[in-house]
Amino acid sequence: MLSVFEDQIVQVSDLKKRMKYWLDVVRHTAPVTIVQGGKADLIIMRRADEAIHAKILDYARLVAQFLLEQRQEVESQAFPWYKHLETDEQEEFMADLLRCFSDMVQTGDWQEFAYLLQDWQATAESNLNPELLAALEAPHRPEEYIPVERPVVEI
Amino acid sequence: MSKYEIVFKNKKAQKGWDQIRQRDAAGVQKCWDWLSETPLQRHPGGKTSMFRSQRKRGVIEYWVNYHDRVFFTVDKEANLVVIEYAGPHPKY
Repeated sequence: MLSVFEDQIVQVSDLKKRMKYWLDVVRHTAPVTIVQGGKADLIIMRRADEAIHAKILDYARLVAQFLLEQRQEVESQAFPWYKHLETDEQEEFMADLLRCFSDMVQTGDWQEFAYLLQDWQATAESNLNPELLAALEAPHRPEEYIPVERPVVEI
Repeated sequence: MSKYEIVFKNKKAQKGWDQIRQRDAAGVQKCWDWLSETPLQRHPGGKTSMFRSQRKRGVIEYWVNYHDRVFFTVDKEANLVVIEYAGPHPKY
């Protein structure tokens, strides 16, 4: 994904003359900023890119809120499950969050960031289930494995 | 033929699975199908989450339904899925 800061600039008169050319530029390369009367306050961009920018902005707000909460040492409203992570997991989450956020801003791939939040929420919630934690810590003994047959659903 | 063999880690995991099956047989069947074919993929409906912390890395959670979860690990070399735990999701 290209940033709006990597756009091309076109005078409105040139845009009128070569409309098809400039629309193809937008479709296949980058957003185009329109200059009219010395002002460059309008942009043409693909709808899909605009949606990506909106999504990234939503996540940026969330990360900013979380960092502010951390600085103020208050319970996180951005990520209410954060408090359930162990101390070492909280440190790992912070590092993972910042790395993935940086990647998202560079590449526009917000899906990986969404996975990160989903995964860490599940990791945090697992700490609320002592039975699960005990089960995960139990050693693997292949001789105790029991084959799982495909369940039959009666109609 | 399934790509992965599925096993319970122990009898406790089997008991949890059976209890979920009594509540939601169709959900458990879908879970079995997913685990036997594509256990390491992201579920398109968001049913899978992959634990991220060092201490739990490799554990994957499958959402059977709103209340029930199955937790498993995958041995890729052996094409083996091990169900570590199955049970209701804790509320908070």
